[in-house]
Amino acid sequence: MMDRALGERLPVLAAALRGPGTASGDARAEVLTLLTGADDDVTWLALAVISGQLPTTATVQRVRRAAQLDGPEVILKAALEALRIEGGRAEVQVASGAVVIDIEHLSRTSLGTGIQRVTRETLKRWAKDHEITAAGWLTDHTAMRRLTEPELSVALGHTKAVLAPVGMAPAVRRPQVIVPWESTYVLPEVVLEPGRTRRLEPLFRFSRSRTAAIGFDTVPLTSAETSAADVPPHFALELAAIRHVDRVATISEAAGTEYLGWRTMVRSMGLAGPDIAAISLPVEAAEPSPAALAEASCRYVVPTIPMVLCVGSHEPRKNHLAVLHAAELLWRSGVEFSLLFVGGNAWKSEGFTQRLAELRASGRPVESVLGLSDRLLWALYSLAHCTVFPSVNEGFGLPVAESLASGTPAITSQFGSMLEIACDGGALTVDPRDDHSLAAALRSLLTDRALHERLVLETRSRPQRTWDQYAAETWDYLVDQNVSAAAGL
Amino acid sequence: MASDGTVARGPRPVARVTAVAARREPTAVAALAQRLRAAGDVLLVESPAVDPDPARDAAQLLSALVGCARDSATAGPTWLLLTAVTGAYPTADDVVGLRRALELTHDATDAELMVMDHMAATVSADGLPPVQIEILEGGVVVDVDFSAQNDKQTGIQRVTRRVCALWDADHSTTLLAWSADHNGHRRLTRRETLRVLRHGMPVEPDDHLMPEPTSLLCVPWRCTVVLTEVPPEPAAAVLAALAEFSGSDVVAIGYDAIPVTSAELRPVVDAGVFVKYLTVLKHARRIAGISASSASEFRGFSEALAAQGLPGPSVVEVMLATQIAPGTGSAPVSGLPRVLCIGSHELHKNHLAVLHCAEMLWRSGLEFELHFVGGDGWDMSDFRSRTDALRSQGRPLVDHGRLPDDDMWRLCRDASFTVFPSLHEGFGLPVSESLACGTPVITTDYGSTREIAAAGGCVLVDPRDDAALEAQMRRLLTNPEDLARLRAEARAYEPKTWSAYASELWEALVTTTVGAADEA
Repeated sequence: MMDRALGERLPVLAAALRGPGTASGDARAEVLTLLTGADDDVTWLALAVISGQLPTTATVQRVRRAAQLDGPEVILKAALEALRIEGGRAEVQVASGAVVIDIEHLSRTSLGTGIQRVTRETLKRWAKDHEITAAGWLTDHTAMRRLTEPELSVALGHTKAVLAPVGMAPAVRRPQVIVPWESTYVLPEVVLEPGRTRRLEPLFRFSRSRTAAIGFDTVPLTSAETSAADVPPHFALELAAIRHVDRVATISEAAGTEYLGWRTMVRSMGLAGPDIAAISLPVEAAEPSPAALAEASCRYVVPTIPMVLCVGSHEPRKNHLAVLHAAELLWRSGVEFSLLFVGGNAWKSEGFTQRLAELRASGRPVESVLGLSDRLLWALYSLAHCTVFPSVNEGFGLPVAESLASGTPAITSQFGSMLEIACDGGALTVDPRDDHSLAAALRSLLTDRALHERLVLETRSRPQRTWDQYAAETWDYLVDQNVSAAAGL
Repeated sequence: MASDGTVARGPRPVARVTAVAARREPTAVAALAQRLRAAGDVLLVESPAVDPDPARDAAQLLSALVGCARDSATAGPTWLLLTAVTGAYPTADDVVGLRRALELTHDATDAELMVMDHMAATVSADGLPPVQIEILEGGVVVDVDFSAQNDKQTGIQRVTRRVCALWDADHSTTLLAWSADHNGHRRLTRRETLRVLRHGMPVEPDDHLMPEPTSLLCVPWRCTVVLTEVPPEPAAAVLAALAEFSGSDVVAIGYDAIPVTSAELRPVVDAGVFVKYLTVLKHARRIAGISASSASEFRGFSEALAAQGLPGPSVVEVMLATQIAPGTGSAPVSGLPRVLCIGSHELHKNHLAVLHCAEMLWRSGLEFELHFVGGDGWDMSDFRSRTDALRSQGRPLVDHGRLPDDDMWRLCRDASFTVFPSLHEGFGLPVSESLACGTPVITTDYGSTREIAAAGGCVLVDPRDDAALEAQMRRLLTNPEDLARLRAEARAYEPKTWSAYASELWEALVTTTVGAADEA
């Protein structure tokens, strides 16, 4: 097995190192000649191709230094030791010149999170308009592999997964490991597995590729009090890798502010850090069907009183306790409305659950719904009198944008990405750390008919932004401009 | 001032210290009454007359304090009320939750009952002891928890101890540590005070016999709370709430953000601890970075906070001091030239590059000794296997491990030059110490090491380029003129003194925050 692997991989490595030209007879001899005086880049490539595993930075540097002292055989020897463990099952391909899109999460799970929606909608359009290589990772996160057509189809939501249950590794007869080299690599998702981030960092540094990522937010770094304890360390490892990418497209100006602050931190280490640009997410409202409207109305709307909708998981960052408090202040003062939460329970949502139960017990018209279908959610956006979303930190306040795209006024925070969305009209902004500011805005929208009508009108003249635009702009910035910047064009 | 455990030196007027009952284990009710009275003394315009029955006294105080918290536009009184009621600092959720609940209560009795319910729930859930509290109003307190309880004396503890001792001579400050359960601050024991202010000095026999103060909490109120070190991790949540709500200004020395910016070179848990520290700093008023480079790291963090609508701390640079004991510049010992590398064997110190360059030079026929001084780092495996291999080949390589300062400085004075190609430093102390010893340095061409090197005596290299490091080591080993010129520059180096650092730091963190000098 090992001999076969080596027999296959030596010519692959020789071809990648040689570039265009004719192979000499003895691949091993040719490789050793090509590896003489190897720098970190070449050492990285040789280790990756021969072992079928992406090496870590420490390994690359150790082997390169040893080869400098004792000759290029050292590199082959180190790679062969790793190959012995890996077993040499995979077919290794060097993805020179390709545009590799890393969609490991999307290819394994469909969680329906905001991040997955961004990855899927963007990838659909990139795959249609451009030649791409969609990549996932081996289950042990030691190497990237080419996704099969059926896998890609499932990831994009074109077909339902049938081969493997959700969360399981797809059955692949012989994985095709791909090693990006003088290629373009784009990461349109968040990576929290240390195995991947520890291999991505050297990939960004040594693969001679143009590299890029979408930046969603830096919440685990800047608002760790709102993250489960295991997230920030793994996020810090991702940031350690992202230090070395060429470009980051953030999903809002506010996320850009966060990444720029982080880049300032990184520059203390003598690293330039990535070029950063904000490319705001789009929102395309779905027109709810009459059946969905009827069903949602019958089930979730209290006749004769307006419904206030709050969409999002009940983690502390979303500030749903403030919403409950503001609502109770208004109910006590005689304002009539129902309050509907749509979103899952999340880390530290117990306080919300308890307070909700208390208010329900005292007869308030408030309800929380879990796991609602998109079909009914769009109907609710349409049926709501207004929405509230007073989060204290968001990379992009999707429910605000969705509400406004549905023609429903929103109340949201007066800073960050939420303010950016609110600026185009149809929203009131408040200080989310001041319950009275929130209560006052909600009271106005519920009692001032003229104000409500004006905001509804404003929602109709908001600029439209589509996934097609977003996909085109991100491809241009992360791929086309990135490649031409490297070529000095 | 019954529990004052500080060394009697210089004026020590604490603005307001409330009376503390006799030192015996108080009953829960008596302790509650004491805590509420202490809070009443600072919160109420007029405290009710003392009722000899502690239960009745607590009841009348609670009623007045709940009214005060309810009527206040700011969260400070709620924070202090919670601290007094439970005998522990509250979290942000506690403060915000109580303010909401108080707003919804129908009348004063309702509110008092609710606060009592909260107390009962918290005290039983967290197993809180019936402590008494002392409130420090309007002064400057320094959180020195680690330096007070540990004898370790590396970078941060050295800064903490030097600064505290110098401030103690010139200003009125109170040193605080955390209670065993991290429920709140406490004063230092006499032993701990000496460990901070007179570290390394002989301890008088009497000092061991001094009675230890009781475990009462010492609560800053409208104070400046100075963090000279990273506070204990379990205290982060309540300290963040103190910074956000209590009305005290939290200010800090900023060292570096390596655990989050270079997470791949540190144990994974470090990043988790550090982000908790950042949850405190996001509500701090001021941070003094120990170099321009360090200040820029914390400024980057502060600027990122705009995305969540927070102003973030203002960040200034107060460059750290370097002071070494005077010693004779002994003539270089006969025999091979010595190259010295100072610093713990952490991965970001880049010692593997130093080993590699040395071996390249040895193989090319150059003769020199390579010495390391510094403690073990997190991951020693590669360093150990390389040094073992080189030694077994007979290379003149010595790893001294940790050495007393005087021994280290003697080695430094005798060295031909030092190498310090660290990937990341808040302040590259080995660079300034080497220069203070009159010994040239090869160091990193960016960040704080570059700032220090501006004074001369240094050669700058890209630490990620082994060839560059090797070339400069070769140059200093083979070019006596260059080395002599650098040595002359190094001899002219005038390091910043600790007293200059301490007074600049006071100016930057305390005077500026308070607005005007608070010294009599």
